[in-house]
Order: sequence, then C-alpha cells, then structure tokens
Amino acid sequence: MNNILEVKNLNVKFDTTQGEVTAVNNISFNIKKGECIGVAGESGSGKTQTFFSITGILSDNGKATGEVIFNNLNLLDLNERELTKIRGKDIGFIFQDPMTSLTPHMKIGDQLTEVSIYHDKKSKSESTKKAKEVLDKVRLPRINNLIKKYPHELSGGMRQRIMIGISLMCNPRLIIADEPTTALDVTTQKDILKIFSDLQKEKITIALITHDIGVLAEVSDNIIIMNEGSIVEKGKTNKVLVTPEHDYTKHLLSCVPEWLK
Amino acid sequence: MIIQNTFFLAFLNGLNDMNEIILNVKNLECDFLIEKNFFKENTYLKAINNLSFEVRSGITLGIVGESGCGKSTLCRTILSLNKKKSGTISWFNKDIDNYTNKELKEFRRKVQIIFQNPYESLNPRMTIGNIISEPLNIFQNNLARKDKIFKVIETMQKVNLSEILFNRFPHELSGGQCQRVGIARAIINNPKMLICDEPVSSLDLSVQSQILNLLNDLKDNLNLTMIFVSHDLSVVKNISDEVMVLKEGKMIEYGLVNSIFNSPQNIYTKELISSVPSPIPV
Amino acid sequence: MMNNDKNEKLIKKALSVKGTSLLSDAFKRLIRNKASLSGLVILSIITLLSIFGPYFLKFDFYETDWNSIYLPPDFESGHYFGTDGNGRDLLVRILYGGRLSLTIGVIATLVSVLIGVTYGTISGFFGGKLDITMMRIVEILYAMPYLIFVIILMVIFGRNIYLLFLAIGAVEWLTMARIVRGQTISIKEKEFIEASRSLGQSSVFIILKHIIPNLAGTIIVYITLMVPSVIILESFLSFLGLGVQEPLTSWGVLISEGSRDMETAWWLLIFPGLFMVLTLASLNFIGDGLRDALDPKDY
Repeated sequence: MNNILEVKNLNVKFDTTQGEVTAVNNISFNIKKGECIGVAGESGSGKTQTFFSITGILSDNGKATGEVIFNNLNLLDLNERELTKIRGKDIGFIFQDPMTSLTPHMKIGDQLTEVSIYHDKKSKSESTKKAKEVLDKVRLPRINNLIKKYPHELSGGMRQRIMIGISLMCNPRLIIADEPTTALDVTTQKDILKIFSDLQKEKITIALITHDIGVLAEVSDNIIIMNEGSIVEKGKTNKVLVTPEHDYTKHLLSCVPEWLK
Repeated sequence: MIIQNTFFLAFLNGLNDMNEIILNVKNLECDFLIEKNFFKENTYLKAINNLSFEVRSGITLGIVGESGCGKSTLCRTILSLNKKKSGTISWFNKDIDNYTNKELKEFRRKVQIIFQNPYESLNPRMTIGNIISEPLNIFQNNLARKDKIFKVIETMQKVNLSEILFNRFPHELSGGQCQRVGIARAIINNPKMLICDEPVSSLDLSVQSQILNLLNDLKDNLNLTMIFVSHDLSVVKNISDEVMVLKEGKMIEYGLVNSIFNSPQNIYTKELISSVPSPIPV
Repeated sequence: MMNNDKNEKLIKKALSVKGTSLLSDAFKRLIRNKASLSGLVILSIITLLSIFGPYFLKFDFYETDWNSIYLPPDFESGHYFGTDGNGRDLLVRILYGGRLSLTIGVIATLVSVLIGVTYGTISGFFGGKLDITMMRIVEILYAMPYLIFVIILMVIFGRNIYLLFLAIGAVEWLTMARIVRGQTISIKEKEFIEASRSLGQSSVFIILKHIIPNLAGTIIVYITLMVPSVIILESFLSFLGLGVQEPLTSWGVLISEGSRDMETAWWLLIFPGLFMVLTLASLNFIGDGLRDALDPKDY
C-alpha cells in the first residue's frame, strides 16, 4: 500500500457558546508516501483543524469522527497515551509562529534531544550527534554554540529551522507543517522552502498547510483546496493552479495579486 | 541609494505643474532604545538612518522592506506618534516641529493611518458606530447627534459596510469587516493623505483583494494620496505608483513601480524580488 | 439634509440591531458555571436576609433578656440560633452583623477602587518620572506597619465606625493601584490606543473612554476578591477589639465573642462562622467564575 495517511469521512465539530459549529465537513483524502501535498484555504476553511484532529491536538470542546488510518491504525480511536507515542516520533508537526513554539527557558540543544530521548530511548550523546546532523539538514551553520543558545537569542528564521529540525529528530514518516513561513520575511521564506525541497528529495512525506498560493506552487506535488470545511478541489498542483475547475478555486486564484508579467 | 534616473526625472518634470509636493522628509533619523544603562550611555538602535524622500499629491508611494527595516517606525514618526532624533518632516512646506497645538490637530485631521491588525486597532468595548464617530467628536463636535449618526452611516456605505453593524462590537465582525471599520474611521473627516501600515497582511486572500480594490476606489473618489507599507511585494506592485525599498532604516532604491520590479538595479532589491515564490507553477 | 425621510429610515434601521457586548456575553457564561451560580444565589440570599430578615423576627439586636442567657438553639422560644451571654438573640445579631460586614465590604472596596483606579491609570498612562514617583509612594506606604497605624488612629480619635472605613480603605487601595497601573501599561501599548492618538484624541479622553472600560474585566474580578479580604480585615480588627463598638456588631465581633464561649455555647461560634464562611466562599466562587467568563480567549 502506497498511502501514508488515509482520511475517510472526517468530521470535526466544536461546542461553543453559539451552539455546535462544524469546522470540517465529511472530508476524505489520501497522502501518498514521499509526496508533498499542499492544503490551501482561507481562515475558517478547516484546514488547520483537519490536521489538529489527525494528531489529536484539538481543543477540549472539539470532537472528531470518521477514520484516519496511519500505520494501519485509526488515529481517532487511540487514547492520549497511545497518541503521544506517535506524535513527535512518526508524525512531526511544525507550527506557525516560531516566536512562541519553542520553550523559552530551555536551550536549543535540549529541545532537540528531548524528542529522541523520550521516543527512541536514545542516550544523551547519541541524541546530540543526531541533533547536529539534523541542524546540518536544516542548513543551520555548524556553530557548536548554537546548541547552547536560548530561543530568544535567535532570529525568526533560525527558530523555524530549529522547529523543522525537532520534527526530524525521530525520522518521522509524515511531517505536517502549519503555515511554516507565514510569519517570516520573504528572503527567509525562500531558505525555508529550499529546506522543504531538500526533504522532498529524500522522500520524506510532507503535508504543507498554507494560504500562500506561491508557496504551494513552488513546493507541493499535489494540492487540496478547502472552503468552509469541505474539499472543493484536489489534484496535481500544476493542473489545479493552471486549469482550475471549481468556482471557488477560480475565485481564489483570481484574488492572487499579479506577479509575473 | 539609486534613483532610476532618466524616466523618473522626466516623469517628475511632467508632474511638476500638476502635483505639488505635500510631504517632504529630509535626513530623518530615529533611534530605538534597546538598553537603559545607569552608568554608561543608553544603547540605541538606528531604526531610521538619514532618510529623505518626497510624496506628491495624488500618488501612491509603496514602501517595501523586511522586518526591522523601519517602515512601521517611519509611519508613526510621520504622524508624530514617535519622537524623531533629528531631521525634518514638512507638510505642505511647513515643518511640523513648528506647529502650534491647533495646527497639529489640523494635521491629524488631514493625515490618517490604517493599521495592520484589524481587531487590535479597534477598542473591543466600543460599538462600531462609536468607533467610527470618534473623529467626528474630536473635530466636528458641534454637529447634532442625528447628523453625526448619518455621517457615520454614510461613511460605512462608502466602505461597503452594512448599516446594521452600527451597534455591533468588533468581536462580532470578520477581519475584513473590522478593517473596513478602520478605513471608515480614517476617512470620515476627509483626510488628504492615508498611511496604510500593512493593511492587508492579516487578511485572507479574497478579503485582501476586496480591501485593496476598496482602497483604490477611495483613492480615486476622495482624491487621496497614499503611503502603502507592506512586506508583500506582489501587493505593493499592484497598488503603487512609486516604490521605495528600505533596509535597516536606509533607502536602498527608489523609483517608478515598473522600473523597480522589472529592472531593479540594487542587489538587495533583486534578491527580494527573486525570493517571491511565483503563484504560477514553473 | 436632503431627503430627510429616507435618512430617518436608514438611521432607524441602523440603530435597531443591538450587538452583544463582551460584558453581557461574559454574564451568560458566568451563569453557566455552576459554582459561580450557586455563589450568586447564596450571596443574594444572605444579603436579602441581612437587609429584610430582622423585620420578621421578634427580637431586636440589642434586646437583653436576663432570663434567657446562653440558651441553645430552640424553636419554641423563637431563639432559632440561641442566645448569647446577655440574653440577646443570636440570629438577629448575625443578620445585623451581616449588614455591617457586607456594607463595610462593599463601601470600603468601592472607595479603594475609586482611589486605586484613578491613581493607577494616571501613573501607568503618563509613565516616566510621574510613574516612578507615584509607585515609590505606594511602596513606602506598603512598608508601613499597618496595625500600629490603626491603633494610633484609634487612640487619637477613639473607636469610631468611620475610622474603620478609613483604616481599611487606606490599605486596600494600594493593591488596586498597582494592579491597575500594570494593566494600564499593557493596554496603553495596544493599537487602538495608538489609533486614538493618531486621531488627535486628548489623553484624558483616552483614559476615560479607552483604558478604563478595558480595565473593567480585571477590576470586577478584583472587586469580588477584595470584598472578602476587607470583611476579614474588619473581622480581624473587631476580633482584636479595635472595630465596632457595642451594641453594634459585626461577624468579626460575634466570632470573637463566640470563640471565648466556644466550649459551653458552641452555637455562638458556629452560626456566625457559618455565615461568614458561606459569604466568603460565594464571593470567591463568583470571582473565579468572573475571571473565566471575562477571559476573551474564547473569541
């Protein structure tokens, strides 16, 4: 079987003061091994909640139903303890805001090694060796001191690379990146996208959630367009962006400011 | 600093008769306090470093740069919300340092600002009606209550906001609607110049294009001059007439929008432009 | 104004739809919280009893009856909670004491809120040397030995209920000022304050219309947590004999007297204590509930 992740009839509902709100409405899609799939949509489309529910980090008032098949298990059936074993090890998650995603009082080195010590039960020295390899992979200059620094001493771009590094520490089968470059400058974004391209070449499966069509065009093989909780179109990136079929996709693409002459 | 010479000068000469210079910034320097030291001098960072430029009436000046280039500081300094270290800012040829309190108040009426975060720029405890009427209460306080309400509704219609939102609160509105409230508040007193500090950066793509179209329409209908600050080059490319590129408080390049984007001269400008991922797959 | 009729209709339509403010939304959430709701109910009952209860009871709070001293709770005689050493009915004294304790709680808190908010917003908003000076004053006042101060006042002016208000208000406003100053500083940095400044708004107006309404959440929560603190402070002073004078009574006084006769007349301690504990617990639950309800995180 070639699919890393199979999502079938996923529904995510939230219990709010205004009643029940459906964030994700009966969606189904697959992610093939080694591909980079882009998930595009505006706020309220449900793209982030889809992946939050896959990794089990929905907020307390949210409820996910359906099937999410990963490693031959339905992730939605697992309890918190079982999910913790998968999170960070088989599925890596990169969050949007690098400013707040790293623990402010822990050194970078400790944050990197923490993951593999917990999941793979590696020793501190083995972990540190892996951490250095990973830092190379995310194109951070080989400064010995980097491991000893604190997050606030680094720039946004460097912090985001650390986040990517942390997600790579346990050789995950799937990496989910939620708006990884939105908070970054355009030149920094270019560097981060290069890293994603490198990871793609190593056949690491990536799910990239973003509203930036340019980023998707550059990095993803296939693309899913979401609107108000449903998938409106999916297919090869080249096809969807050049010849969109659904009205919403056409509308979305028409809103992208003209860049090339 | 490179000015795209030939065409630009010709352009300027042609404009000279029609468009006067309304804002003139000369040798502006702004410092940012990083560290207060008791025994030695305080440590400052140069947020704006010897910046000079002019804005002509009716033009949209786009200012691009990455984080830390000083574009937000520049906006606030022009409005006198920030203190400057040295340099002059002149509005219609009068140095704003020499303004009396009354003149400063009039300046505030004429130069308005729209902020980046649509929710943060509105007081969460005030109704939309009250937020938009605040400028009226400052500058036209003698208007009757009914006339004020009418003027607010009129302005809401100009920015395509439904009048039934009058008594609602910011948290009940979408990001796009809140940004329109901010725009309504800025234009209700007929300003001459609008400074837009990343006005669409926090908005969804479809809302972004609506707001940009709105700003363009307002600019034509109300005869506004705009300064448009953004880190998003594609947005700036589509809305500006002239573009200024900033880096670490210094001007790197300045010119007409087409010249800057089609034939950038400075390495940094070239790097910026080449970093933007193209929305059409190659 | 041309086309007046059309304009009138437009204005009417605009004003007809009401939004839900953050406060009304918070109130709805407060009611849903069971602990806060029970706190509100219990507090209301105790307040109503304290105000109106005495009119329905046969005895007055100062009425002594030497034939009925130290009577345990007894339904037939009408002394539902028993009597004290002077034959005075305990229930009516508890209710009267409630009036005093609650009044002091509310008024002293309000006075400290008024002083504290004014002081704190001015200090926080204008900053600089003014802020530094004002906060140093607060810190010096904090450092003064409170109890000695109160005793000296009592010695000079004698025991007086207004002195009690003063003594309590004089210490509580300090905390409020500090909290308000901190909140003001963080609100001051927000964009809508900058927006107001860019419109040319005056500082006074910004403080009144923009800063204080946004402090409301914090202030309300601290009020509900401050009232118990004030009641305890008054009780403490009364317990030490520095509070209200006979025959006026407060819960603190009753508890003080009750603790002396604890072994022989348990009801003199238990009943006032129960009322006090219920009130304080209710206020704390309400305060907790308010803090959760006013947290805008859920938007």
